[in-house]
Amino acid sequence: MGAVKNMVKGFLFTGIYVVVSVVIPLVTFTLISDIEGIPFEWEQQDYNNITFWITALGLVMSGLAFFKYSSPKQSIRKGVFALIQVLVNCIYIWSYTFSGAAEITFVITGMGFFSLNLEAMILIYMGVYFLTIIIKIYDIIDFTVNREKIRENRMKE
Amino acid sequence: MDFLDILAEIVGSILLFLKPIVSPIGRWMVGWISTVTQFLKDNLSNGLTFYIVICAMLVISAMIVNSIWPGDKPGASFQKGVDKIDDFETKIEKIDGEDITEEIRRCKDCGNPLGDQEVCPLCGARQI
Repeated sequence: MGAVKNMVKGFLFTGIYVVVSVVIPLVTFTLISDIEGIPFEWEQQDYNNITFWITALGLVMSGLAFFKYSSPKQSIRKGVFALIQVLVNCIYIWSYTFSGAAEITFVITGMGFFSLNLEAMILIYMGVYFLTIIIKIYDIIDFTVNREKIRENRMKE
Repeated sequence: MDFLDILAEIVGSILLFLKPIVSPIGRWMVGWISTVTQFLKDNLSNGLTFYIVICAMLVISAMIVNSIWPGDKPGASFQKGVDKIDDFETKIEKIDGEDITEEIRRCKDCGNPLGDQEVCPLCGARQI
């Protein structure tokens, strides 16, 4: 695969990451905060925190996605950036709790309120993510040890 | 609907089974992630400039790396240099294989190497 093809692939996946990790969450949170008549309140500070961290970490993830997906398959640089991306992804997911989105209090007008705590679910998800990190580390070791064989196979394609 | 109920129960039981193993790992993960996020909150929460710069740097550096080394062969700009080196090495190999001593101009009288000179520096004989 040539340099141009690699970069096209990189830009494609960067676009997907921007849409999935920045645009869709931002639109969702904006819609929730903008809709009038819905019987719950969203504190402005929570909204500001969420939008800031989603944009900030989403941008970093998109940049890393470009580096990862534009790298040749089974290359060491792909492995390294895949690992960094997983780590940043963990921080991104955790930033939802950090900004208050994992423990949302819905105030129902005239009735009271109820609280939705997603922290336990995120805890299990983080445990699963740890296994992903282990796999990524194994990938880097594998790509490094079998570097010559992988390169030969890639040249044959 | 029965199928969905069964599926939900299976997923639920798997999660319950994994919870004692996965949750402590998750708690450890949350430990270091909280530290990092706290650091980000304390030091890098003023504006998006830092994150935009990081994103741009990643994209630009990836483009440079890809143009130099796309993976299957050296990139276009790098290839020119490699081709020049290959040509040079081929020439050297050719020269190494040939006997160039026969091509050297020598004095007709004494056999001394002459170079471009018309008179032999050793015996003084004129080369006509």
